[in-house]
Amino acid sequence: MPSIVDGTTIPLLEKIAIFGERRNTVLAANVANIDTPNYHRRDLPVEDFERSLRDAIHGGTARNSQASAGPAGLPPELLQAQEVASPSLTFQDNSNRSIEREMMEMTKNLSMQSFAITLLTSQMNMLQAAIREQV
Amino acid sequence: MFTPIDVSTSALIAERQRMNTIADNLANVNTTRNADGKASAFQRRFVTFAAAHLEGAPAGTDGVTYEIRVDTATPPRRVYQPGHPDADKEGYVSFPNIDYMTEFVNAMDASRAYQANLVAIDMTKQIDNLSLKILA
Amino acid sequence: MTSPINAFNTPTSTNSLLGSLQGTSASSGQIPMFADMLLQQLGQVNALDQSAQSAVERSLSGGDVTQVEVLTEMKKADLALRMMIQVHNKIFDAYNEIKQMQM
Repeated sequence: MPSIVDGTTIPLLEKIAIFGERRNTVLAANVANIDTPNYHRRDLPVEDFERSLRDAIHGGTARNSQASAGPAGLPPELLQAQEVASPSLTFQDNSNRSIEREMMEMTKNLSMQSFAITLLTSQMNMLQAAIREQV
Repeated sequence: MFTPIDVSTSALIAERQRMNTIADNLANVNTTRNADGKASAFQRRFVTFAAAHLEGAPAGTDGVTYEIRVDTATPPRRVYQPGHPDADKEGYVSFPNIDYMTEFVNAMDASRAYQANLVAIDMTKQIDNLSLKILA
Repeated sequence: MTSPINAFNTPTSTNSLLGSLQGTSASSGQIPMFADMLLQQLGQVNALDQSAQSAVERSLSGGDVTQVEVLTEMKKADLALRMMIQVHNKIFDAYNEIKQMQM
């Protein structure tokens, strides 16, 4: 059933906020395991997510909250954490951790999520003001 | 959109590696054998930095990459100790030519640079937070 | 006999609603109708909203848009919408008042 917010950017912002929140958990796990031997850093598939966002925006389905199964039209496989083989510092047990990189990823994720949530809130307030006919 | 954080992080990683190298040097200040057990003085290592273009960033914004090099220019210190197990035929032992003062000054410099980049990241975060206030 | 609105000394800027209305009334020489005013404002609000949403999409698909641009576009659309809601409410109140006037 199409929802009242289809046609705005609310479904797009929802996708980003949901992805950001799931990713925050995975990145926090990376930071917690910074000293665990034989731990490889894990992450959600960010590039796939960005690519699917770009395709949805250019294909016109980004404003549709029923584009695929999963929350807000986000395909569930984009929310699965995977191990990442990143080309960064290697330690003696061949893992690829660096606390600066993890903190940077968390900071960027937080910035993106604050941005998306602020825009989402503003859009919802606009819709609400129009519905109530009250500023 | 978040290039300043990437740039600062590359600097943080580079400075941390510099600190690690300095710590290696200081730990091995009296090492006269290499990892295979042969009598060979530990060669001082140092880190060189180079500007590197980040992918996805606008042209002209560069981060930092580092390279660990072995200092082959300075000769080892030769000390006359005939009873030492690593002494050569003339009784001289080769000790690493690592100077405490140089290493300490480099360590202070690396630590300052690290702090400066942390402040830069903090300022970037403040700008982002302030700009969100446009929409209250 | 009342003189047309554009004879008053009201401040006009090329972007303000009053200025644009004075522009249209100067050509027709009549007092602007509420219908024109509302339609014009609706067009403005729609245009701002579309540009805000396209700014959001451009920035999220990796375009060269800064965060500040997106936020200001969104805020402008927000203000325009709220202005229009207020104008709509006032017009509605005025209409009700006129309806209740005893002739």
